Amino acid sequence: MSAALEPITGRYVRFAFEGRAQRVYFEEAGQGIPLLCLHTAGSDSRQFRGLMNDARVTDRFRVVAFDLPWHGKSSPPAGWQLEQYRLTSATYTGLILAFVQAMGLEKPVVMGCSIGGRICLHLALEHAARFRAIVGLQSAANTPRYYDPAWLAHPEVNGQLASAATVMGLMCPGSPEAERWETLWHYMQGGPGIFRGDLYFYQIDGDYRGRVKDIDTKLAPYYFLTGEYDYSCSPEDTQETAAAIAGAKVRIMRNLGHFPMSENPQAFVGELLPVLDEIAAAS
Amino acid sequence: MDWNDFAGRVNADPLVARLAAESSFDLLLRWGDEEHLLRVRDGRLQAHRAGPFVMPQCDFALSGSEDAWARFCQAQPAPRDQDIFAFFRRGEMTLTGDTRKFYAHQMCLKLVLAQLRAAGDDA
Repeated sequence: MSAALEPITGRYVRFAFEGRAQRVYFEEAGQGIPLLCLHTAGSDSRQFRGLMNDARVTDRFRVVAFDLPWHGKSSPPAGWQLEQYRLTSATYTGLILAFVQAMGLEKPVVMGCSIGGRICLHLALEHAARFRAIVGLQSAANTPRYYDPAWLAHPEVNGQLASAATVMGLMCPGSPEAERWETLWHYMQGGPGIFRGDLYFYQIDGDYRGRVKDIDTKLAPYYFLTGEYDYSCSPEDTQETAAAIAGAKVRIMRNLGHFPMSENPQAFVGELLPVLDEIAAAS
Repeated sequence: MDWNDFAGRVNADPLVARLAAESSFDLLLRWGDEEHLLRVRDGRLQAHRAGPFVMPQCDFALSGSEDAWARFCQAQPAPRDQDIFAFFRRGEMTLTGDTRKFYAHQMCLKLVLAQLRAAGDDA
């Protein structure tokens, strides 16, 4: 049996943020234009494994994905055991900018999914000039609350199974079985209360309705890519948000759901390549 | 909907055996005007009874119109008809009863409901 080394490398970077030491894990592959990838709530950078293993992307782009503190292989800050994790717009934005600075990424493309897609709107509002382009996957200004995530961290509920069960239906049933279950495995590995803490941002703090009209796509072009099976950030949610942003471009992806880069990497890259071509041509 | 051998399909599903072996709950499905009580014990669908019932005893209930359930049960559901949470969001299905038990057994519940879909061709 032959072995195959993937081109992905993983390392840790340390930097201070909000006066606390952070130890952040990231993976990267490829060379060229930096493409910074942001994972979904309650998951980690492994969601971008397909992108980093696809030479059609990595021959022109340096794909970098980091695990948010408290997620994946990144450490929670010292003293975590005494606090409740809750993600906010300010903290999330600050962490992204701190990581970009720590890594010396020069005017990267930023691409985030779900909570990552939401914070892309915030980056576009407040820091657009720092980015070459912004790609929001499953990105919309708001998602109405239709379930209570408090139960995901209840002592009488198995958070590993409940978190996975809560998101399993967000994927297209036709996405490859192995990729769908890998996506769920990541959810089963989240720390206690972390998915719930991310959803505080997604459901409550990060509501940008009324603000997105101020996004200036001349500073950084904004691309929306949304899978049609996603009922959390539905195509209608994306289209409503995009309609308020002059110059925003929208692509609704057939046969994909809420985790396009993870549930079906091959199909997703096919959807993403025209966007990357456009960004590369403008660079 | 063809309920024949529904329990057999659930109990033969290796995913239920792997991920839900310790789940036990009583579920009431309100399917338009129909009612169905499902008793799950230790990851096995022990009993299915069709109503109508007077004061049915259950841990939680899922209620939806006949049309909503029919769309959910399609072998290849249309985009955003593939999960009960999608129907929750649109107000086409509701959850009542013990929410804690719903979350505790949500994995098992969704695997059980997936077997309704397996029979969806007959709906």
